[in-house]
Amino acid sequence: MKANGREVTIVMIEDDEGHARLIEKNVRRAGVHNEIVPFTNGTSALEYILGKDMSGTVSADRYLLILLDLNLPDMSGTEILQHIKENPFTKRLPVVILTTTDDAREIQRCYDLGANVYITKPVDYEGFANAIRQLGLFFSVIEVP
Amino acid sequence: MTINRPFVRNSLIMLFCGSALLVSVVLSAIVLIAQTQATFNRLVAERVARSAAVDLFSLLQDAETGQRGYLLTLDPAFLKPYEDAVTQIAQAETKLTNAISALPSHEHDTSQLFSLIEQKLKEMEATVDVAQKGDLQAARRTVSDGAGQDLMTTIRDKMQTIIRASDVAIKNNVSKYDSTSGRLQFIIIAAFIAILVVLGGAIYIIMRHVGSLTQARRELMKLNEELEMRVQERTQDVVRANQEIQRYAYIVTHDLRAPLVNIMGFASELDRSIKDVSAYVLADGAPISQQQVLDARMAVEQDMPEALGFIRSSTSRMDGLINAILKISRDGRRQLKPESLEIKDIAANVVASQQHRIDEVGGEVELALSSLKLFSDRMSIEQILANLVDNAIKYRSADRALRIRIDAVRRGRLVDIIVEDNGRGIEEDDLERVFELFRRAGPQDQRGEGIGLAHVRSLARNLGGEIDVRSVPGKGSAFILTTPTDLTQVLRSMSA
Repeated sequence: MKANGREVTIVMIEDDEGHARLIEKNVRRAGVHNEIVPFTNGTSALEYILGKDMSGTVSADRYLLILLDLNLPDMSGTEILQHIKENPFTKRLPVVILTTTDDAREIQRCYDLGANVYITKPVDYEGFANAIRQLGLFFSVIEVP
Repeated sequence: MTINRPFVRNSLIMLFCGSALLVSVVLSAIVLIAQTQATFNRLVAERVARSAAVDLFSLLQDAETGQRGYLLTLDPAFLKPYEDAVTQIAQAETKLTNAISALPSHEHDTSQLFSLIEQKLKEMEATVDVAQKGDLQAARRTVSDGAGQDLMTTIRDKMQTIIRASDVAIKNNVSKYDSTSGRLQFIIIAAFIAILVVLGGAIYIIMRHVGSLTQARRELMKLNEELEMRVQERTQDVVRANQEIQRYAYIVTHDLRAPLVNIMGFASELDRSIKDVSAYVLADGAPISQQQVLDARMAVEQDMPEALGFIRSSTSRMDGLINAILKISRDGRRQLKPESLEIKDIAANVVASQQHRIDEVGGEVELALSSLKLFSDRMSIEQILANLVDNAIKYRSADRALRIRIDAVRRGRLVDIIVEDNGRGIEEDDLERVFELFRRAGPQDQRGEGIGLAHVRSLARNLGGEIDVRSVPGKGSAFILTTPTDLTQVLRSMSA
């Protein structure tokens, strides 16, 4: 996955290390070999994406794809989504919500806030792996600005 | 509201007595008026009789005067009054008889009177006749003889008797009339007073009744309002409880599902690794590619232990979550034991139990609260304060020495227990989140499950209280536990 000839970095914000590992395994199996930067909480992830001063200038010439879990220990995923989509430097970054929550209102809210894809983590592993593989397909066709 | 039965009975009796009095007054007035009328009639009749008697006698006197004058002068002019009187006498007699017979009781004696008058008239007629025939001497002799004079005296006596009796009767009736009118006047005044009393009593009773009705209505309205308010309060409680349960269920299902995804996922991964291993182990002499050997090595060395590790940690995480849910649920069902507590002592004990940690970080605790008694559950209060102090130590600011201040303020039937720190504070968006189960706020640089404050909140609510927080990020936080001073009242209203 490349953008303007540069490798796209996948930012994975996922508090559950097991989930993170499973996602990584399946992303790799789908043939995506981009760098994955994992975060287990929202605070440090936001710091990485927007910079310490939260201005977003650090991401001005970075090519990121964000994988976001909604249920984080320190802040809600929608809050992170809001921060990313409100920032002029990061608002065009594709954000994929990957979470266990299947509440219809929550899904709607995420799309309202500007999420690009919303995927519910299925409990059965086949479904899970399948979803990630399809995400890999998605990654291979997606254009990152 | 009960209606005052004796009051109603008494007022009815009073009204009835008043009415009876009024009726009797009116009846006696009617009787008295009738009596007065009778007396008056009697008086009139008596006067008629008297004047008839007087008239008759004066006619008789007129006749005698005329007779005497004629005998003296022989002037026929004197005969005129004589003759007039004689002709009127019969009429006057009838009048007297009628008047006397109209009188109901006392009988005037007229039987002899009329015959005496007859004799007198005859005597006068005789003398006048004799004189007219020219024998004046004989006529004068008859007069001077004195028989006529005697007759006249007797008649006068009789008349006098009648008139005197009449006078007595008139006098009696007048005094009777007077006394009857006096009584009538008295009765009328009494009736007036009775009417006033009855009317006043009636008005008083009506006013009191209306007053009590108004009072009852007002009380009813007040009760209604209170009831509505209580219903509203309860409804709010129910709505809040329902929302909490939904939120709780949502959190629990999500948090329980997360490790489940891991277990299922790594079980599948394990399955995949077993395939890699079995391709090597169960080859039974068949040729094995270099890649298969590497895969098998990788599976045994890395993938399988990793999968097992995640399965194990996920299982224990699930166990931890279930235990945490159980703990909170058990706290909700624990029988609260209200007892007399001194908040200052509890706070001092809680601080003493964590003193070594406070000393380690060079902190300081100020017990600003004065002596304050509570009647509440000791264990709940202790656990809440211990949790709050523990959080204050855990989330202290790295830039300055920890300072904790514990205070308590009484507000009527409630007491605010405040635990204030100068720690790292909480962002405004996270103020509600910190109380949610399995949620934590700010940098995740401390170990924790996200249970402490959820537990504190459920404890506070079980006591009929609430936990609140205000905070300035980077400056410090203040947790305020508001709880009733008397838990028994809360328990009573909950069981009601």
